[in-house]
Amino acid sequence: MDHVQRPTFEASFSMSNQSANINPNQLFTQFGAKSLSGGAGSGQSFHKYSQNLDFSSIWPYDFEQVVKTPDQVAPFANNQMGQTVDWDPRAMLSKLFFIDQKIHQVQDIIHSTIDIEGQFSIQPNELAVKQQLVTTDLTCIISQLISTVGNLLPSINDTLLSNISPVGKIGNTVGSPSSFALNGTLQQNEDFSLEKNVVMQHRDLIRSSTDSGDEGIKPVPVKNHDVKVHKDCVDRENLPLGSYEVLELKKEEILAPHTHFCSICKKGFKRSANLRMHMRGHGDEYKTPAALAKPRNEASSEPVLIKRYSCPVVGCKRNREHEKFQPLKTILCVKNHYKRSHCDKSYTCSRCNTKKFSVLADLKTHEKHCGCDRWLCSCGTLFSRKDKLLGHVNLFPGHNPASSMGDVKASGGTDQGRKIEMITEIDSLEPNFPGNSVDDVDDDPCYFFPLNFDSFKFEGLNDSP
Amino acid sequence: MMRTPQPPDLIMAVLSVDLLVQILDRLPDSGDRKSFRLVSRGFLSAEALHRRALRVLRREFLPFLLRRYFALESLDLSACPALDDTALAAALHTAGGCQGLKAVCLARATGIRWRGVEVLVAACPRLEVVDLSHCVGIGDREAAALAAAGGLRELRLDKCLGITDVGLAKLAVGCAVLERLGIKWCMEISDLGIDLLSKKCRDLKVLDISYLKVTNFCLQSVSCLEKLEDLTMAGCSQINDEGLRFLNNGSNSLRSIDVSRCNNVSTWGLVSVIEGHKCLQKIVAGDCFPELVPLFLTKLSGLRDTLNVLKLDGFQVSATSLQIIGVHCKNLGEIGLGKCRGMTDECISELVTYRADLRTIDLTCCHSLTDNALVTIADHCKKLTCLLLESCSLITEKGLDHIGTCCTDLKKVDLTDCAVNDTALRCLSPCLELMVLKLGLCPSISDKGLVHIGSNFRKILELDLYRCTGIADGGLAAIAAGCKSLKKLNVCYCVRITDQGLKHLSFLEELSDLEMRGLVHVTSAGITAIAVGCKSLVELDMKRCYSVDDAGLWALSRCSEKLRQINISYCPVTGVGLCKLLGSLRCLQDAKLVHLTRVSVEGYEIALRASWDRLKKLKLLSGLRHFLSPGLLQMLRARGCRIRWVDKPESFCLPFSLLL
Repeated sequence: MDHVQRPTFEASFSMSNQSANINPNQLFTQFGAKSLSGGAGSGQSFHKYSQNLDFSSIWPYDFEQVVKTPDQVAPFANNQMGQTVDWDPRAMLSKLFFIDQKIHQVQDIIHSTIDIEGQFSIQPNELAVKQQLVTTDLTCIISQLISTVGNLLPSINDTLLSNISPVGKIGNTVGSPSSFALNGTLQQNEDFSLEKNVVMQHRDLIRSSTDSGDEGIKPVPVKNHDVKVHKDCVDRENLPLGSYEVLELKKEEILAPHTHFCSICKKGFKRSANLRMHMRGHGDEYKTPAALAKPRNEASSEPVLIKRYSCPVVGCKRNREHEKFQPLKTILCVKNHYKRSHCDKSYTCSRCNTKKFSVLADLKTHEKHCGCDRWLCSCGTLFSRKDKLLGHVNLFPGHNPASSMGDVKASGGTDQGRKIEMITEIDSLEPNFPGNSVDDVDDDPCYFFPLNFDSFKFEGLNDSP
Repeated sequence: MMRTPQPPDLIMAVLSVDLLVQILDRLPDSGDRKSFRLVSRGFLSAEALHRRALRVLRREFLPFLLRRYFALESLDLSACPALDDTALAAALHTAGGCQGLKAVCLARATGIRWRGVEVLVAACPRLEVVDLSHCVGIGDREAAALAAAGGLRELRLDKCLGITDVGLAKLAVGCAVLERLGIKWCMEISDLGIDLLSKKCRDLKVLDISYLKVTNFCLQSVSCLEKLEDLTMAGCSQINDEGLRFLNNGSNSLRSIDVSRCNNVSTWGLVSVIEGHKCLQKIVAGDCFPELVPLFLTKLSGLRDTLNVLKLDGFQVSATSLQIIGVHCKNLGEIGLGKCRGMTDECISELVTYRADLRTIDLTCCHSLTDNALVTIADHCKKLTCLLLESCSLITEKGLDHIGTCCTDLKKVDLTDCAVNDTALRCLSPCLELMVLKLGLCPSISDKGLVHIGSNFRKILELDLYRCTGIADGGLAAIAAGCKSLKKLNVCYCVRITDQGLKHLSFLEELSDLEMRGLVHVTSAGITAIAVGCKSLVELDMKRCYSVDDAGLWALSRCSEKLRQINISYCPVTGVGLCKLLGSLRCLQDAKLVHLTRVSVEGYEIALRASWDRLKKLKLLSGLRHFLSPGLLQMLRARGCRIRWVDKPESFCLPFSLLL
């Protein structure tokens, strides 16, 4: 364990130092004393940070407060100034040397993992930690490279600093949680310099991977964090890993009809307001305005840990042990998710008798539109919306909207019934239709006098009415 | 009996069929052709061999005609009364299919439904052009039947109210080679349908989406049509500049664009269209935005070599703006400036000094124009063919004198409401090519003026004398003597006209359209003369001819075989005459029968039953709605007849029938 941890720790420390003061060489030559103190300061404030790390990206104001401690501001300012000064080839060289070193370190880590794998089986957790370290280092290298480029081309300095997109992109391609978090942080406080944030995130990660086990709720390490919109709860907030508390309710709790219980008579209620109304009957002390008021979170003054929920079913994507874990946002989301995904579908649509639902609201939504599938394609596919049908027709050559639209619109009943009706109607009409028409014409007397035809047609007047 | 066939055979020996066909090639006139085919059977069969286009006026002859004229390529059934699915199917059945038929016109054939369309498509495998406009009953089912004609290139569906996006989708899928499509007034069609159309029919060249409730999205899809040349979208009020900006990409080969009456389009939209298409030939932007901004005018200079037609009705114009147009648009042949505000003589002179080759100038309702404008036009535009000056009340014979002497190519002149007199007509007399002349609301014109018309304008086809109260029978005599090819004549409210005048008019054999409202001195004798003389009469309007009675209707029903549209409102006719009229006129399709005070409800009932199934449009007093039997109304409706109920109170004579 030690063998594995030490080089990375060293690396990350040096890295953090390094990236805080963009290039040590330059700083030493120009602001030697200051930067030293800044370095020491950052070392001291390390612990301070680690306490706030989890919220750093969600609570920008908090973060700002911490950053504005004097010893932190100093390197930040240096950093800014250092970039405006013309670039120094020596400084550049030292930077590149640093990057080179860094790459070697990463190589070492990977080698060591291979060695360990060869010797004895290691815990998957350990492997995950290693991978994380590698990605962290890689991100660091990339950010270093970018800052080097920024020094090379002073004209794009500003865009690099203010615009998050290049780093954001790189972060995404790396696909590491750190870069992801970095992105989130940057979006929230763009004013901060890039390197600063990188450092913060790295410390963050290092802490989370090394000092784990101290606290009860630990952030679950995650390798890939896909962001997708999900039915259960639209979760586009891009919370960085570990910035929230994950709670897991038991199955019985989820399925319980009542969530609020009277402490005296144990009666259950679905809504807290109903409970409060009920409590009035237990004594005058529950009738005060304070007792009847909606219990407010005192959280407005101090930051509260954001709560997210995990599904109790192991293996579910919404379970915290899943490697692509996506947390559920509220208790209601948990309930709906659990019912939809892990319970029987007990509600059946009374109209079509095929669709089944486990959440009553879903059934009601369906029943509103059930039987409205009146857009029929020639291939037999039914659509509930016209634009969907036309899109389908556009997609598949040879398909076209079926001809029964008018009839379907006019008559009621089920779809199949309508189709049959339509077909029989056509059948009954078509075969005898030409015959009928011919009979009609045979009755017409004019029809038999071809010789008279010209006089009829062109001299008109001779034609008797 | 034995001899009769001999002479034709002898002629045929001299003139072989191919020679006859050669002769027919040089016979454009329908009357000459009629004489030709009446010569003999041989001539008739030669004519049948030669004929490519046919317009049918009677349903009962349709099967026979189709069998005789087997080489037909174009068939026009728009004037065929009482045509329904059964009749069409039977005709096509007896003819054994029309293998060569390429174009069919079924406009206003309200009796045609999906079965008829289906049979038509099946019988004519080479069908390329179909016109179903104004068949208001046409819907998706008919569209589906039509979609089976895969080779369809041109399709007109104006005012087919029942067609929805689904119907259009079927057509788009079925007729992938469609090049021209008109879906004006198909109110059910939305963006979705147009979107699919533009994805499926990539060859579309001409598209008319006027008055549809389409939005900018539709233009986004239309802009991807690479071959699109002509886009008409008049009155699409939901389209604005952002939509037109989609046309900026220049990915289609637009030649002509019509955005008239699009209320939300402004100069910027048009500018973006012009930017995208450097070859625009026609811009119609009337009545959509009031200001001509300089940017638009400068952009027009980009189209200097191509722009041919520019219509800017209802704009605020100035001398400078018209000067810019005149200088930049080198190829301009037609300009529309109707109802333009700020139009002065100076504007006109600025325009025409640079554009001497203008052919058509529309100055309708430019009230402040004077003779000076006409003088400058006459001095510069020697090739002018069409000059519209309606309501330019300041112009006099002096200006027209210049026009007459300089612009001798004039074919169409509109002087409605210009208060011109006989001298002005004499001034126009050098314009021997004149075909259309409108002189409505010019009460100072007398018979002398009409003598000028009759003696000079021999080629005239259309003459409008609406409310020219100065004219009398003598003038009509001059017209009847001179203008032998006259087809349309309007003498409404020229109250001095009597039966004698109509007797003169009866010598106009070509006359097809006669409007004679409010001729109170005309009696049935005059109508009889018209009925006997004007064999080609198709449309007759004798509303408020208070002296015409049943005898006139008898004459019409006996002689006016081709009469298709009639208005006898307010005439003192009785039920018998009406019954005779509606019962015997085989081509009658449109009748206006309002305030016939002497016709009883029974009279209406019998007359309408006697009309059988030929009527397509009917105008009746709304009071009758409750008195006519429901069965009759149902039958009329089932035959595709549309009844318009009007609610016009007539102060002094209540409907006679209701008093009974």
